Amino acid sequence: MGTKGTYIGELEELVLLVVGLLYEGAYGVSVLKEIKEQTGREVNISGIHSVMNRLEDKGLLRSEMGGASNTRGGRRKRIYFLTAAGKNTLDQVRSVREKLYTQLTSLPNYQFSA
Amino acid sequence: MSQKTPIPPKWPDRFLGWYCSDRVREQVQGDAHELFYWRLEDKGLNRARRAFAWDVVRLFKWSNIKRTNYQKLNNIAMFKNYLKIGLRNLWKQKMPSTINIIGLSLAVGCCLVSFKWIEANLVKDQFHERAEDTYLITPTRKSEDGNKIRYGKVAMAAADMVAEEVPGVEFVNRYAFGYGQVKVKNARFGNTFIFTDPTFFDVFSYKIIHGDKTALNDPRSVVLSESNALAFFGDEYPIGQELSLKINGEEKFFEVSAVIENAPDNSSMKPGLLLNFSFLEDFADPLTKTAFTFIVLNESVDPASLTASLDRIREKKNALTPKTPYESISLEPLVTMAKNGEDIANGFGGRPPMAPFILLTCIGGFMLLLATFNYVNIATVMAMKRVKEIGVRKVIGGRRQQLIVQFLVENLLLCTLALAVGCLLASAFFIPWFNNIAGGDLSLDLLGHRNLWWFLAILLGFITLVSGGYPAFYISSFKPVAIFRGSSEKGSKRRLTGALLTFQMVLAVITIVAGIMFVQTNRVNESRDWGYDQHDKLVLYIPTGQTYQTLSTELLKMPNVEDVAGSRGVLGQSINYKKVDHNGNRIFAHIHRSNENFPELMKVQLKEGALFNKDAPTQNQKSLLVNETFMNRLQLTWEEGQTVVMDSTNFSIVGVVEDFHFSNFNEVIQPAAFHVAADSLLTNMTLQVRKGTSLEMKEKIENTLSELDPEKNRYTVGFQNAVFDEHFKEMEGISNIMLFTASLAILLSAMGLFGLVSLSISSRQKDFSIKKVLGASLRQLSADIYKRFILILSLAIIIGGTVSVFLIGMLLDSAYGYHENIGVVPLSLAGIILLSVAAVTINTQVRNVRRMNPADTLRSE
Repeated sequence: MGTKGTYIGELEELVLLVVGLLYEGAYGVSVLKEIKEQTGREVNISGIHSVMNRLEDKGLLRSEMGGASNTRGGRRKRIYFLTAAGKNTLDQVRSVREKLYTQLTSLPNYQFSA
Repeated sequence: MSQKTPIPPKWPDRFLGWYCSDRVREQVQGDAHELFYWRLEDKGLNRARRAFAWDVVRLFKWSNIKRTNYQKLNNIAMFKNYLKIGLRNLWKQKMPSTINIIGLSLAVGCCLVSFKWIEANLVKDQFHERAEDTYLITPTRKSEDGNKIRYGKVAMAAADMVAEEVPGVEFVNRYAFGYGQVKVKNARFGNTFIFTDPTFFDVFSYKIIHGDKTALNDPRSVVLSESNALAFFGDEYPIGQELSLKINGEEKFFEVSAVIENAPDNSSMKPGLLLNFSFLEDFADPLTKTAFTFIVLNESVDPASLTASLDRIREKKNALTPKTPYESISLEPLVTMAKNGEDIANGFGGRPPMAPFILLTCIGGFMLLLATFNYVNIATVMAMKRVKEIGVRKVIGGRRQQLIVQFLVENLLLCTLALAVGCLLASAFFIPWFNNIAGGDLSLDLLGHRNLWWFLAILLGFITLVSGGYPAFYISSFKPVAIFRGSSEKGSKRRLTGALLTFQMVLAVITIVAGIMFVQTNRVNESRDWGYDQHDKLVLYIPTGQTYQTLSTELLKMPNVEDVAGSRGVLGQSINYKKVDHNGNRIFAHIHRSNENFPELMKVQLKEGALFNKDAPTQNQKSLLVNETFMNRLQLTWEEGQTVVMDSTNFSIVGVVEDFHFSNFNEVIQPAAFHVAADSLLTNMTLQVRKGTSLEMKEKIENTLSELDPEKNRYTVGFQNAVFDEHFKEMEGISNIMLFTASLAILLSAMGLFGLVSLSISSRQKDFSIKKVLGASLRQLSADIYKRFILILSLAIIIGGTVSVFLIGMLLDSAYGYHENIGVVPLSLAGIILLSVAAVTINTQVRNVRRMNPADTLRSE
C-alpha cells in the first residue's frame, strides 16, 4: 500500500471502527449511539455526517439507502459499509501504532514525567 | 399539547426540510427525527426539542444546503435575443424612449454634480501619492482650566527627535505659516508664506508645472502656486524671477525656482508661496515655536506600533520644556485630518457645512425620483402594447423569472445609454455652470477616479432596478389566457400611475415654491435697510494706525470729502466677538472698535442716550454704544449709567442705537457695541463723500494716497455699500441653482405628463374616433382627457403647497437670517405655473385628437 491518502484523524478512525463493528446496521444515528455507549463521547449528528461523507469520498466507506423505520417518519436511512480500503487503513493505523507503542514500553529505565 | 406522541418542533423541522438539498434530505431529516425520539426517552420532551433545534442549526452547512441547480446551457443566444428585442423596442417607441432617456440623463447629470461636490468636501487629501502612509503629529496639552486639548502643531524641535526615535520614517516635513508683504518690482502683495522643509515634494503630490522636486533645497529659492505666479509676474516666465519678502523685519531676496499647480478643492492645504524652513529656524525658538509636522512611514510600519517611540519623544521634549509639558503625542492620518479637524485645535479644516450637503442630496434625489417615476409610468403603460409578446413567450415555455430578466436587460440598455448621456451633460454643462455659480473647480475625469466609478455603478444599478423593477414584475405577471382572451385588469395600474404622477407634481410644486422664495428673499434682502447709511462712503486700509491723523487731515483737504472716521476693521466685514457680563447674564457681542465720530459718520440711528462725547476721551475709553439686541439679550432697559463687565473691566453704556447689519443677511443680528479705540489700533478709514461722487472720488483718493506714500505703493479704495456684494453674489448663485432645479423639475414632470397623455390617447383612438363620428364636440373630447389629470394636478398643488410651507420654510430658516413667510403669492404662482405647463402639455396632444380623421383609425379593422 502506498502511504498517501491513508492518514485519517482520530474521530475518523473511531467512526471507521464503529461502522465496521455495526456491520449492515451502520447509519448516522446508530454510529452516534454506538460511539456514545462504547467510549462515552458525545458527538453531534452533524459531525458524524461530515466524517462519514469524508470517509466515503476517500473510499474507505461505501453507502446505500436502506430501510425506513417508524421513528424516522417513514424516511429511509443511508447505510454505510466498511470497504476493503477502509479495513486496510485500519490495519495500517493499528500496526503503526503498535510498532511505536512497543518501542515506547521496551525503553529501559525510562522516567515518565508527571 | 395533546397527549398523542409528541412530534419534533415544527418550525425547525420545516426549516430543515426547506434548506436540505434533495440528495440528503431524507437521510438527514430521518436521522434528526430518530435522534429526537431517542432523546425523548432519555431526557424528556423539552430537552429533546431543544436538542433537535440545535441539531437543525448544526446541520445547516454547505454540504447539506440546497443550491439552485441552473441548467448549464449556453445562454448567450438568449441574451442576444433580449438585447435585439430591447434595441428594437427602443427604436420603435421613439417618443417614450426619448422621454425616458432625456429624463434619466438630466437626473444623472444632477446627481453627478451633487456627488462631485459632496465628494470633494468629504474626501480630502487622498490625491497625494503617499496619502495612506502620511501622518500628522498631534501633541496633547493641558489647558489652563485643566482640559486636555489636542493640537495640530508640535514644537519645531520634535522633527529631529522623530527622525532619531521613530523607526521606519521615510520623510519628515514641517509646515508653518507666516504672513507679510511680497514685493515684486514695484508692486506689493499681502500674502501668506509657508515655511517648509525641502521634503515637501516627497510627502505631498502637488503637480509641479515648472521646475522640479529639488526646488526648495536652496534656501534662496521660492516656490509659487500658479495663481500667485500669475498675479506677481503676469505673462512672464516665472522661473528665475526675483522677489523680496520681509521676514522678521528684514528684507530678503529670493528667486522663483518652481511653480506648482493651484491646490485642488479637496486639498486641506493651499500652498501659495513656499519658502525653505531654515528661515524660521534662524529666529524662532525650536522648543516654543510650533509647526505642522508630517511624517511618511514606510509601508511596512504599523503606526499603532509607534506608541513607545512617540512617548520617548514626549519625554525628551518635556525634559527640555518642563513648564509646558505634553500629555501625550499621537498620530493623525493625513486622510482623516480634515474630517477630524474639529478635535484638533489649530488644525486644518473643520467639519464641512451641512446645509449644502442636504440641499444637493435633495436636488439629486428629487430629480432621480422624478425621472424614475416617469420611467415607471411610461413603461407600465407601454407594456400594454407588448402583452401579446409576453403571452407568446409564456406559452412557449418562458418562465416568469426569464421574462423579468428580459425586461431588466432592456432597461439596463436604456439606463446605460442615459448614464452616458448624463455624464456628457454633466461634464459639458452642469459642472461648468455649477463651478461658475459656486466658485468650485469640480471636473469630471472619468478615468482614474475610483469613487466616481463606484458611484456610477451604484447609480446604474439603482435606476435600473428601481425604474425597471416594477414594470418588469407587473408585465411578467400577466396570464397568457387573460392576454389572448383580450382582457386584462387595469384598475390597480391606473391607481399606481396616478399616485406616481401626483408625487411628481408635488415635487415640482415644492421646487417651484423654493425657487420663487429664494429669488424673492434675495430681492427683499438686497433692498433691506442696513441700519446705517451705507451710501457715499469709501473705505480703505491703512498700514498703521499712526498714519491715521496725518492721512485724515490730508484727505479732508480734498474737495467732496465731507468727513473721515477710523475703525479697526470694516463694518460688515470684520467680526470681533467678546464675552460681556451683566449681573450673571452672559452674552457674546461684536465689539466694533473705532474712533469717536465713527458711529455719527455711519449715521446709525440713536434710540436712547447719546453718541460718544468727542470732548471726553478718557470717559469714552470706558464707554460702550450698544445696539437694541444687546440690551434685549441682557434683559436691560435703558437708563443712565448702567454698566457691563468685559475683560474684567466695567464699561458704562452711553447710548442705545437701532440694530444694524454688521454681518451678512444669513445671520440674525447679534448683540453689538461700538467701543472707542486708540488711534494706533485703527486699521481702516471710512470717508463720507458728497452724494454721487463716490465713483470719481475713489480714483482721486487712490492717487492721493499713492502720492503721500513714501514708497509710492498703490492703494485700493472700496465702497461701504459693496461690503455684502460677495454675499449677495453667493446667495444669487444659490437662488439660481434653485431656479434651475425648479425648471428641471417642471421639465421632467411635463415630459412624464406628455408621455402619459399621448399614450392614453393613442390607446383610446378608436374610442375617440367613434365619439367623433357620433358627433361629439372637441370640447367634450378634451374634457374627457382633462378630467383625469385635473384631479391629479389639483391634489398635487394642495399637497405640494402644504409640504413646501413646512419644508421650504425650514430650508429658508437655515439659509437666511431674515425671510418672509411663504404666503399666498408664491404658492398660487407655483400653482399657476404648474397648471399652465400641464395645460400646454396636454393641449399638444388634444390637438392630435382634433386633427385625427376618424376614418383612418376605424378603417384599419
